Amino acid sequence: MMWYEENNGDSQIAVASRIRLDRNFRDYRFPERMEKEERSSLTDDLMRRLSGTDFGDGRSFRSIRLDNISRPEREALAERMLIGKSCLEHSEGGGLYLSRDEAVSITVNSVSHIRLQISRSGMDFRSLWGAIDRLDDKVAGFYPYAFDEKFGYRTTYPTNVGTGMKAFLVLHLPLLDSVEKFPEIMDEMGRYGLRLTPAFGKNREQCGNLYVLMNRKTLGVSEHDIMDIMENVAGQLISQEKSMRENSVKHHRLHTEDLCYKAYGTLRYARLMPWKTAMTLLSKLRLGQEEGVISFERYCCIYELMTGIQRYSLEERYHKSYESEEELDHARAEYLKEKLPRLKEDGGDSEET
Amino acid sequence: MLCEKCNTREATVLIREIINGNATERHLCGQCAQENGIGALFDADSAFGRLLSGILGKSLTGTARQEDEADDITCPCCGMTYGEFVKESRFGCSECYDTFGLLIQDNIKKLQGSDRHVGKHPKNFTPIRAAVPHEAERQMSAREELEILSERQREAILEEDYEEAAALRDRIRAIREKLEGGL
Repeated sequence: MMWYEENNGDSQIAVASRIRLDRNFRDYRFPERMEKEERSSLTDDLMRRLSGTDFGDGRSFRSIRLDNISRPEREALAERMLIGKSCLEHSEGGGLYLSRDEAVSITVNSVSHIRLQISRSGMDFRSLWGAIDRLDDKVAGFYPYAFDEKFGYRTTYPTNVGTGMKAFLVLHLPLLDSVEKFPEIMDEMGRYGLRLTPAFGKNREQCGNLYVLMNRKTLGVSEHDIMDIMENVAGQLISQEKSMRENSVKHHRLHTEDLCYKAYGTLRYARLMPWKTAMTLLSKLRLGQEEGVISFERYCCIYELMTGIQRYSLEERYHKSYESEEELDHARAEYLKEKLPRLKEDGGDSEET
Repeated sequence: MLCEKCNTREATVLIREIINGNATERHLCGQCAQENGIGALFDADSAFGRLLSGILGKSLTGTARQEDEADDITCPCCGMTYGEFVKESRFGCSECYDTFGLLIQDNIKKLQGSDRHVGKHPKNFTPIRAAVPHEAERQMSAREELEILSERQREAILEEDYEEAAALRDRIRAIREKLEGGL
C-alpha cells in the first residue's frame, strides 16, 4: 500500500502532510563543492550505511543511483515529490533511498549530504516528527553533523539554516479558492512566517484547488513551534473551507451533485484530457467524495490520480515518450478511464455513517 | 522619523534598493518592514539566488569598495570566496559559516527574522566549549563568561528588559555557585 492510501486520506480537506530535514556532515564539503569522485564515493558509503541501518519501522527500502536512471525517470520521481527539482540537473553522484510505500525518501548528495523526508496522508505532523526525529538520530551516528549552537544545522542554503526543517501540508480548498479575497489570504500567510502556494508547481488555474502550506522560517523557531503554527493556521483555513462547504452542499445539493456527475462523465469518457481540465474536474470529484455527494464502488484516491496524470508519471507508466500535446492528452484520458472506478448509482448517502 | 507606511510608529529600518541604476530609499518601522519589504524576500524561493545576492551584498550593505574587499575573503576549507557565496547564495562547506559568519549574520537575521537557533541539537552533540579544557583555562573561561553576562545584564537593565535581565542574573548566579563549589 502506498502512503497516500492509508488513513482514508480522501475524506479530508487536509490531503497530505510532509516533513523534510536537510543535514550536512561537518567533515565533507557540501555536495556542490565536491569533486566528482569524492561525491560518488561518499554516496556509495552513505547508501551502504543507510541499507545497513534498521530504522525500526518495518519498512523495506530500495536504493537508486540518480545518475543510473534516465532524465524522465528522475522527472517522474520529482513529480511525486520524492526528490527535489535540483536533482534533475545535478544528479551526478547523487542517490535516493526510498521506502516501498514511498512515505520515506532519503536523498543523498543532492542539495545536502542528506535530505530526509516523510509523508503521510491527512494532517499528522506529530507522528511525522516522531518518525523523522528517530531517523535523524540514526543518521547522526554516521558522521558528525555540521552544526553549531548559534546557527543550528549548517545547511547549504541560508533559507534552511537553523532547524533545517520544512513542513508541508497539502490542502484541498475548492470553495475558499473561489472567493475573491483568496489571493489576499495567500499573502496573509507571510505574517505567520508561512507560505501558501498552488501545489504541483502550477498556477492557480491549473492546480485543481490543491494548495501547499509551508514554513519559510527555519531559524529562531523550534521544530515544535513550526508544527504549532502550521496546525494553527491550517486549522483556520480548514474550518473556513468547511463552513463554506456545509452551506453550499446544504443549500445547493442538486447543483453540487450535478457538477460531480458531469465531472465524472467527462473524466471517464473523454478521449483527450488536457492537464488543466483534468485537474479542475478531479477537484470537483474529490469535493463530492469528501462531502459524501458521490461515492465509488471501490476505493479511489483522487490525490493519486492528480499525481499520476503529470507528463513524466504517464510516460513512466506507459513506457512511452509523448512528442505532441495530443498524444499526452490522449494518454491522460486513457489513464483516467483505466483508474476511475464506477460510481454507486444512488450517490453516497446510504454509505455514509 | 515616522514610518512611511503606517505613519504611526518610529521608522527603524532603512530599505535601500537599486533598480536599473535608480536608487530608492524607504524608511519603515519594524512591523511594516516585516509585513512588506522583508516579508516579500521570503516569497520567491525560486528567484532566491538573485534576491539573496541583493540582501547579502550589492544593494544593502557598504560601499562598492568595501564589497570588493570582502569579495576576496576565501574559505580555507573549500576555497569558496565571499563573492561566489553571494552570487550563488549557498555555502560551500561547514567552515564557510565560520569564515563568512560575521559578514552575514545581520543578513541572515533579515532573511530569517532571527539569528539564533532554538530547536533540536544533533544526538550526541557536544558543544566545542564543553570539550574538557585545562583547569586554569576553564576557570578563566568561566570568569570571561561572567564578565560577558554581567555586561549583557547591565545592557538589559538599561533597555528596561527586566525579563532578560532576570534570566541573565540566574545564569550569573549559577556560574558563581559552580565556581565557588570548586568545580
